[in-house]
Amino acid sequence: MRTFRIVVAAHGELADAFVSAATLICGVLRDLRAVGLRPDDSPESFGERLSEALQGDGPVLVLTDLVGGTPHNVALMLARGRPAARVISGVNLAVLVEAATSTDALDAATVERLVALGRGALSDASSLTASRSP
Amino acid sequence: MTLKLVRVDDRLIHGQVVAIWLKALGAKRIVIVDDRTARDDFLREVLELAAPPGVPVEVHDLAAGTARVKQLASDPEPVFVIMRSPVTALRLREAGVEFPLLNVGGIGAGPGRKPLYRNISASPEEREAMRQLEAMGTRVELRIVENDRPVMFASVKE
Repeated sequence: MRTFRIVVAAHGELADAFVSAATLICGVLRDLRAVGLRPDDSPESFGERLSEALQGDGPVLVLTDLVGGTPHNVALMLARGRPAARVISGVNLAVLVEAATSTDALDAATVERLVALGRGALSDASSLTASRSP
Repeated sequence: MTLKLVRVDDRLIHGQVVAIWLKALGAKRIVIVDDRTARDDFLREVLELAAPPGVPVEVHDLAAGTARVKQLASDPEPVFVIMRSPVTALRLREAGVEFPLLNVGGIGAGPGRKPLYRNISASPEEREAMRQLEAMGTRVELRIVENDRPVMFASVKE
């Protein structure tokens, strides 16, 4: 059982698509929500939906798509004063699947492990395979 | 003259700014002129972290920002200046900061504001500021991201 909730905050349809893709891989996932920035959103209107998604008991992990983007900036502001909320930027499917299936507590060590895993998911795959071919 | 762009955007730094404009302009420094942000330590910190590594973000109130932008305009480093409102741009211009073009890229809907162009709205005071900037010789373009066709404020005003 996962011990924390997850909210994906991203531009456009990306947040919903991440949740849909993670569900495709993992099956139905509880306590996983998506909040997407719409073209007509202001930081305030997006913040209202994100704030609503963050409501609830226990720790919550917010995964944002782009450092400096509005979903990320707003997530950081909303996480202020919520010791139970942690924000990781640069979400990819590998880190989302790992977080969604994690049974660890949402502490500094877990966040560090997730960040390392997400970074490791990004590779120059062609050069890796080229070095193995005859 | 190395103010690469003076932009009005009420989100200040966000995805379009870091992913598109910063790269297109080759700017090496972002200067935000905004009284509200200058007073808010946390918001300032969020914006400082919002730019990519190697691009410092400075946040100043109008008085300090005017002096700083004047100084940077004669410095070789390419600078990207962002503010929330055309009224701030007018104040900078009135204080003697020269810029031939004002880019208006984002003003959300709000009390007293009416739609101007696409997602850009403006209040009567903001429209008047843009008119005055044009009268002072600064062209005012409405352009959200760099590869949009710029539309001149002069061609859309009522």
